[in-house]
Amino acid sequence: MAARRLGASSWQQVVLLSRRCCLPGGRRERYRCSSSNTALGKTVENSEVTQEEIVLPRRKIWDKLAVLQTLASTVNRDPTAAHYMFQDDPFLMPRNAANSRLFSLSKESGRNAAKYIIKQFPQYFDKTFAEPNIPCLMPETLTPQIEGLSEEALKERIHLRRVKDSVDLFDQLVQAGTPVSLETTNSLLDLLCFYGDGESTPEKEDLEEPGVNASEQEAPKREFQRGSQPSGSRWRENNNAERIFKIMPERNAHSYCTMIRGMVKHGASAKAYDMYIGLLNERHKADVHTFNALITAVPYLKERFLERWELAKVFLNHMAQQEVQPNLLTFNALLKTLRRCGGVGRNMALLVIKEMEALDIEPSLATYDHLLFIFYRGADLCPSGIISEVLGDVGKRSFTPQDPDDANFFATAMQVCCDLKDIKLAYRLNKAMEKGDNWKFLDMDRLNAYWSKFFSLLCMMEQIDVVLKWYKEMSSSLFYPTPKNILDLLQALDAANHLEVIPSVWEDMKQLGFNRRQDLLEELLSLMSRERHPDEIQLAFAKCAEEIKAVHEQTRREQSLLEWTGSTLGHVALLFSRAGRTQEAWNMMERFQQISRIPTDQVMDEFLNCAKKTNCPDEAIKLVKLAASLGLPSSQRLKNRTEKEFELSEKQKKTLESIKSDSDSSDSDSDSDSDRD
Amino acid sequence: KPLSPELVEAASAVASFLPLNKKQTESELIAQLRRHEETTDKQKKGGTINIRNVISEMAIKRQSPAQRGVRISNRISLELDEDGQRIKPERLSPQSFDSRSLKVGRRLNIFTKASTETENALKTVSSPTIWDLEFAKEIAAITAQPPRNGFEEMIQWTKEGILWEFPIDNEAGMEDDAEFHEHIFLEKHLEDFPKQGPIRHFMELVICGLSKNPYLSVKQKIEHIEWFQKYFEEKKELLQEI
Repeated sequence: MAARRLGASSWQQVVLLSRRCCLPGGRRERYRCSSSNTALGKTVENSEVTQEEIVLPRRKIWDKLAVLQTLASTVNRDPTAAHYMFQDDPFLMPRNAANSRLFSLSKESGRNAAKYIIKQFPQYFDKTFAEPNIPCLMPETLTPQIEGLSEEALKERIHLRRVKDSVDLFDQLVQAGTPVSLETTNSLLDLLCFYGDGESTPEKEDLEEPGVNASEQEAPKREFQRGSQPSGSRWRENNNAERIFKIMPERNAHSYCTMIRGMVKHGASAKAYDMYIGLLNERHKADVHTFNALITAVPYLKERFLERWELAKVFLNHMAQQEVQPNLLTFNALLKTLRRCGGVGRNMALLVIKEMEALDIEPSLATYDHLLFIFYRGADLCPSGIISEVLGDVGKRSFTPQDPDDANFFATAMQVCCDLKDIKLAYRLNKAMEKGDNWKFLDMDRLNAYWSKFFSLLCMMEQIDVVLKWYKEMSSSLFYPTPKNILDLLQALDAANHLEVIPSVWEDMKQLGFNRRQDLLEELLSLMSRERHPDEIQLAFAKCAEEIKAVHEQTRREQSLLEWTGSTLGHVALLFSRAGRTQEAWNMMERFQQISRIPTDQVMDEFLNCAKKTNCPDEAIKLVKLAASLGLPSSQRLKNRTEKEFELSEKQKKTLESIKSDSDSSDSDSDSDSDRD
Repeated sequence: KPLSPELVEAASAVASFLPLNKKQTESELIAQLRRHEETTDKQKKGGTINIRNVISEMAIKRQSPAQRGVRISNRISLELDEDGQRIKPERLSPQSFDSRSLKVGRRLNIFTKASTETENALKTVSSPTIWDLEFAKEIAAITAQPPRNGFEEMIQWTKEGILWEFPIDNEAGMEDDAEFHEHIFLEKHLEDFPKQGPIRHFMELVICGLSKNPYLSVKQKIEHIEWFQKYFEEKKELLQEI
C-alpha cells in the first residue's frame, strides 16, 4: 500500500516538474523539455542572455617583466642585512666601507675572470646545452671572417674594433691603389679618434684598484666601471689619425668633426681649435657634438675667466649662425666651463639656465650639479635661494640619465647641505632621492659618502633620539660609518648627556674594525672617565676599558703593537678604580713607568678611593711608593691620606714610614737647595 | 634776504644796455638772481634736493654685459682668481641675501627655438657611430646598480636572456613557421603515390614516423617524402617487371 502511494506521488512529482519546465515558454522551441539534464541547463542559461550583447574582454598582454617588477616593488630594504650582493656566507659579510668595496670589486672581478676564460678558450665552450640558447654566456666570434685586401674586410675589422689591424689594412689598400670610400675612411677615423690611437681592449691589463692586494688578483681584471675608457692616453704628435686625415683625398664635415672630438677627448685642445678653424675655412658645418666638445675644451684654451666666457660665446654664436640646434649636453658643457670661471661663472650661469628654459630643454641632474658647484663652492657662501629651488625641481620628478655627470649631483648636493649646516634641506634631498628611479644615480662609493655626510650633519643638528634612530636603521645596511661618523656620534651623545650608550658604540667600533684607532680610543676613554656615573654604567665602562686594554696587548701578525699614551693609560686606570677592580687598576699604574709618563692627581686619588673601598691597604702603600719614586709633589698628600683613611697594621705603618724618609730626604734636599738660593 | 646792492645795480645796468623792455629785463634778472640766492641758501642748509630733477637729466649709460659681469664679479669674488685678476676683498657682507633665483632673470638670447618642421628637416638619418654607441653605453652604466633583492636579480637575468620568460612558452627560441598540424597530418603529400599496395603501406609508415619526429622542420619532412617519390619513380620500371 505504502509503496504504491509513494510511487504514485513520486510519479506525480515528475509530471509536475516537467510541466513546470514547459510552462514558461511552451511556445518556443528552445524550451522543449528533454530528458537530459545538461540540455535543460543550457536552455535555461541562454534565456537569460538573449537581451544583452556579450562583450568579450580584450586579452591583456603583459610585458615579460611585469610580474617580476610588481614583486620587486613589494620588497623594501631590510635594515638588519647587508646589501643583497653580499648575502652569501655570513662570514663574508663586509663590516666596514673598505671591505664592502673590496668584496664588491672581487665579485665583479670573478665575473670578469669567467668572461676572460670563455673568451680565451672558446673551443671548450662550443656545446650548447641550454634550450633556447643563451647567447650572452657563449663565446663571441670576434675573429674577422673576411680575408683579403678589400674594403669589405676593412669594414669588418673596423666593426670588430681592431684598431691596429684596420690601420694596417687601410695602409695596404692605399698602397695597392684601391680607393677607399669616404664613408669607410670616416668610420676608420671615428675608431682612431675614439680610442686615441690605443687599442680598444688592451692586451695586458695592469689596472689595479686601490686597496686591493696584488696577490689576490689571479686573472687579469677589467676596469670596474663598465664602458669607461682609460683617459690617460694622450694624443701623440702625428699619430695614425692625423696621418690618415692628411692623406685623405677628400674630406667632409664628418672627418673634421670626428678629429676635433678625438683631439678634445685626448687632451689636444689647441689642435682641436686649429682643426675647427680648418673646418670653417672649408666652409663646412660642424655638428652639435663637435660644438659640445669645443665648449668643454675652452678652459684649456684660455686662462682668464672673461676670455673663457667670451670664447664660449663665440662658439655659441657660430652654432646659431650654422643653424645647429643646441641640446642638453651643450648647455651642460657650457655650465661645466663656467665652473672654472669664478665670479664670471656665477653671473652667467643663470642666464644659461633661462636660455635652456626658453628652448624647452629640460635640465638634467648634471645641470643642477654644475649650478650648485658654481654657487656654493668656496668660502663666500652668501645664502641664496638657489639650492632650495634646485631641490624643489629635483624632487618633483624621476630623472633618467642623460649626461655622464648626472651621477655627481647627489653627492654635491649633500656636501652643500653640510656646508650650510641645514638639516631640513638634507631631508628634502633625501626625499628627492627616493622619488622614482633617482636612487639609481648613487653607486656604492657615492652612496657611502652621501649617507656618511648626512649622518655627520644629523649628529650636529638633531636630537639624540632621532640620531640614534637613524643610526640603527642605516648602519650596516645602507652605509658603513666612517671613523669621523663615530666621533660625531660620540660628541652628540656627550652633548645630550647620554653617555650610557657608549658601550654599545664600542661594540660597533669593534665590528667596524676601528678598535685600533688611536683617536677614537682617546675620545671614547676620555668621555667615559670624565665624570662618575651610577654603578651599572660604571661596570659597563670598566668592561669596555678591559677590552681596550686587551686590544693594546694583543698582537696579531702584520699588526704592530698599539702603544699606550699617558691619557689612555690614566683613563683605563681610572675606570678600573671606579669599578672597584683594584688589582687591574694597579696593573695599569705600574705601566706608567714603562712608557715614562706620570699619572695625574685625579687618577691617583681615584685609585686610593678604590683601595679604600675594597680595603686593600697594601695597594695604597704601593701607590705611595710609586708616587715617591717618581718624585711627584702629590706624594706627601697621598701619604697623609693613606695614614688617615686606612687601617694599617704595624708592618704596613712601618713601610709607610720608610717611604716617608725617602720623600723627606728628597724634600730636605729641595729645602736645602732653596735655602742656599 | 635782500639782494646785495651791487648786484641790483649791475642788473639795472644790463637792463639799460639791452634795447628791449628795460623794466621787464631788469625784473627778470633780479628774479633770477634771487632764485640763485634761495637755492644757495637751501643747499647751504642741506635742504632736500629734488631727486626727480636730478635723475631725469641723467642719461643711462649702457654697459656691455661683460663689463657689468666683470664689475660685479670684482665686487663679489673673494677667492684668489686663478687667472691673475685683481683680488678684491669681499665688499658684500656675508649676511646679505643673494636674491638671485632660477625663476626670474634674463636669458642669453643667442638661440631661437626651432619649429618642429625645421627640426625634422634637420634631422639626418645616419647609422650610429662609435661615438654614439659608446656614449649610450656610458649613460646606461650610470644607473646600472647591482640588484637589491632576488626579484631584481631575476629581472636582470630575464633581460639578459639567462632566465626563461614566465609564463613559460614552450616554443621559446624555436623559429618554426609551420603550425603543428602541418607537422602531423602529412597524408596530403601522399597524393602522388599509388593508393594500394606495399608502397603505400611503406609510405604510410614513413609518414607515421615523420609525424612523431620533433627534430625536422616541415620543409625537411616534405623533402624526405619527395626523395622517396623520386626514388620510386626511378625504380618504376624495375617494379613493373615484378
